[in-house]
Amino acid sequence: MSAGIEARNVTLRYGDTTAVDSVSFNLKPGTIHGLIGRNGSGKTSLLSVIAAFRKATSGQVLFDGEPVWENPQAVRRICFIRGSGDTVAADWPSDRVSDAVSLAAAFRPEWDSEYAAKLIDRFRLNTRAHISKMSQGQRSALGVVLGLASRCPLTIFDETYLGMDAPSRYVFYEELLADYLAHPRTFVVSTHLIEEVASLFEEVAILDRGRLLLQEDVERLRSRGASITGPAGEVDQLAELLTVLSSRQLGPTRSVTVYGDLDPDLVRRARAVGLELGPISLQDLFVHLTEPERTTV
Amino acid sequence: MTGNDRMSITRHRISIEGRGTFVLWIPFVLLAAAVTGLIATFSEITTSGWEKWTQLPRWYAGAIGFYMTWMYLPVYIAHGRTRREFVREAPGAIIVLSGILAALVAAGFAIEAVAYRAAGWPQTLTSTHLFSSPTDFALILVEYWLAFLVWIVAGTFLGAAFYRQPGFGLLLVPVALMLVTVMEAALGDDGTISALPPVIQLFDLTPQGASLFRALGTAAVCTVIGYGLTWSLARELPMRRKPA
Repeated sequence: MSAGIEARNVTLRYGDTTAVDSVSFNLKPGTIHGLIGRNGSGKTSLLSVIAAFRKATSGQVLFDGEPVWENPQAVRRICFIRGSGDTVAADWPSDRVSDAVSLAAAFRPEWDSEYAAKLIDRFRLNTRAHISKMSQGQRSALGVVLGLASRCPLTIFDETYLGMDAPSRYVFYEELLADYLAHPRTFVVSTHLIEEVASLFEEVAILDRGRLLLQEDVERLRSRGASITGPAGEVDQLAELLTVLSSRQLGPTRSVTVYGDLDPDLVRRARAVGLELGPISLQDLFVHLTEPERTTV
Repeated sequence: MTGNDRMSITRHRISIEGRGTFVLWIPFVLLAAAVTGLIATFSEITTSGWEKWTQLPRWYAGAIGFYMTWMYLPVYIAHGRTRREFVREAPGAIIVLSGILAALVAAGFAIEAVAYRAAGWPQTLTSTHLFSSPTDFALILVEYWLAFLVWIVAGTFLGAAFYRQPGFGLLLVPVALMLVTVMEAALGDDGTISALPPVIQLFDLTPQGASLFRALGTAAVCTVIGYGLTWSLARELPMRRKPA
């Protein structure tokens, strides 16, 4: 099932404000992509254009080579979940979870009712519950149900975890991964909780001030830096040669996160003096790339 | 696999609003009967009460149209439908729903005819209509079908305007009122249009001029203009973010 996305110079403006600025990228089909960025970086705006929720001011988004805007064949296969707000007509106090599920079942060609029932059970949602009386976390969980059970070839979750407690968030991540393995398709997950979801991502795109900073395979991205832990003196000596993103000390032990490729000589030298080398955390990398002035060199 | 694609928006709207209309109609008729009964205790009943009550379904029709674009168009987009599909499929629902409302109004006249006959009251009409008798059900159906059609269309137009920007919607209220007023004038005057007499004078659509031909023509023009305006607002409608 192919579900590749191509953005070509996508720009989205709201009046004088440029939310997305000439963004171009390709999203590989059958992959879980992470879209990360700071508040106001343009993530939701970009995803809105991908899902044809908004028309780009200029440029276009192609889904399997076809423009998405006002294209029935394309939008049928895209499910964009922002919380649960858009996909639920919670217009009357009497609207229930079962109404939201019926609506999705009526409109989503690949809807899986059994899976929806299983997810409702896992998130401990009550189908008779009034949506207007549900907490934000429960509404977010309902959004996850609607997104996953839609089985859309391209499913996008935009900060869908909002208000969800930790157990519910972990259910979301588990189900996302399990369903992806059982029914491979393309997911885009936009999030602030980078470390919590990082293990799901195969590719990551970082957006900053409306521009695409980078888009890379997660493993490759992580190899752009490293964490070095060991005696403070030894660590400092090595760190002098590198860009330090963060540094922590506990007693005589120091741990630094460094950015940049470690050449083999440096790695050998570090190991020779007993330093431990580990992968860089995606969060440290994200902070460095989006706010380099925070970096301690 | 579920999710039948063919005219899914039409079927969904008819199912939701049609069911709601039937549910509301019963208490509405009971309320009208109760008020008539109350009036009869201290005054003589000489005219059709139902004729006056038909004002409310017009506003209800407008609300159906408003809701169609303001609430449900974004929901359909979120569920993978295009704006163009909505604009193409909604007219089917508008025609059926206005027909259901018109049939219920005609049924109201029929119920009233039976009740008035039993009570010995005259069911006199006080306004000009396409129909001259409260039992002329064919013309009653036509008149209200056309009226509700334009009211719903005007509602879709206003709903789209309010969704885009509430202030913009407010500015366009007179345009929507103009559409329904011109339509009401072509159907005769049962009190709906008295608020905007200059419009009637401008188009010379006096109540005495009501005729089936004029009503059909006016409904066609108002519907095309109103729905054209709806399309102009909906065709690039940006989805606003709703709270989760």
